[in-house]
Amino acid sequence: MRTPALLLLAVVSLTAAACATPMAAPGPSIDNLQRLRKAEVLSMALSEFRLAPGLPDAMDRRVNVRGSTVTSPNGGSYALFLKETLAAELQAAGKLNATSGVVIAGQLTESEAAAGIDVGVAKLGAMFTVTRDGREVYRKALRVEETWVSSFYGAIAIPMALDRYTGLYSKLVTQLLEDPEFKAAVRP
Amino acid sequence: MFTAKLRLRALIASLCFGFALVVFGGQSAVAASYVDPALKDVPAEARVTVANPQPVQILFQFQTDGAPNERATKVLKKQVIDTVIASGLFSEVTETPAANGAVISVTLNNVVKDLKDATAQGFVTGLTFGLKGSLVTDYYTGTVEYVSGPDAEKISRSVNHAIHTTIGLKAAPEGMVKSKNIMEAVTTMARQAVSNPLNQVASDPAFGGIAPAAPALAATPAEAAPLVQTPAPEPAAAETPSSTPVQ
Repeated sequence: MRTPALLLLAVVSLTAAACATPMAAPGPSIDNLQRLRKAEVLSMALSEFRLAPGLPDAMDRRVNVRGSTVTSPNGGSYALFLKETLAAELQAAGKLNATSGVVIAGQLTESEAAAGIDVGVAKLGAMFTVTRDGREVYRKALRVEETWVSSFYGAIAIPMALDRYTGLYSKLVTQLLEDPEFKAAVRP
Repeated sequence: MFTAKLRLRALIASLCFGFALVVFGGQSAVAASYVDPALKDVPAEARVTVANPQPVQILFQFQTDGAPNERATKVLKKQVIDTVIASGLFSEVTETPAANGAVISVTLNNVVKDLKDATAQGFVTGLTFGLKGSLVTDYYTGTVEYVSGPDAEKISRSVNHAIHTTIGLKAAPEGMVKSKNIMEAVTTMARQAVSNPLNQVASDPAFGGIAPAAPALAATPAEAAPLVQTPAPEPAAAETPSSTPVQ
């Protein structure tokens, strides 16, 4: 009686280890909020955010960390999660306006996370474009990468890697908002 | 005779081992948590008050070594909001933008100091069924940042806190009171790591709070005396004032 129960527990533990965790809903940060409030920038609209052409569809939907992943709350798409992260920042600062002539679009170019025994690494990249009244005024590929001390134990290494990966979205948006060329492109 | 003595010794050894498994093995899964006593709740007489409380939008994030931790954020969010409400410093605390543009950002960061050492200790404790116990310390930094409106400068204060946890056979850290369970330890830590920097933010002249005659200063988490193989807690003082404009 005890042996089957232990076996069942082992099987459940193994299968539970390979699972999908929902990503944290994107929220604004007080630093980006101040950054946007203080900078003289126009209100902006967001248009299409999608996976860059030629990349495998799986890149937009799954990072594989020892069989586990995180799922985007925005239709399962990481590109849309990036859009929502940017939208949350603009919204909090009162700079999001769906009818604005300043329009930001994005293409996901890189999405990766790995938890090695010693070192973990996560990468995220996107090509951002800004158009003003239909004319492209900004086009730039931005990327962020993070490494950290990982662990042999999956119970520690997997959530750590997935948390770090999720945190890259705000970092990428911060990089965009801090980019002097971007600021110049959205200036009145 | 010699054989009988050997048998007796073997039996005694087996009994001792069995006794150890029964008595101590049951403790192998037992973890006891102790909230570091250096940082306490803000006493009523030290609380800053405001004459005309204003609404504020709250942002909260629990982090593990600086990375967002959604699971812990969900668990602690309501408690953190309740702590800010209980301070009485604001007329309304909402997660949506406040009309006056005021924002308060609360971050609890679980600082990972030596992951390899902690896992090594845990491994040994598990391997010995708790006979070789561990004492590990989780360090936390509680940060409260506040802007009163669109053009206001940011007021920021941070405190350090810690939870010490023993697993298996390990003496309790000296002078510390055991929490009922790990959840009680975490909620106590969260309340203290939020209410202290919040009170310090409110005592900043730019906030406009009415400070009591002798404001209480939070202290640095004490080092657990029997702390083994874990780095010393942050020596930083609890109060790290700054009023930092963000570019």
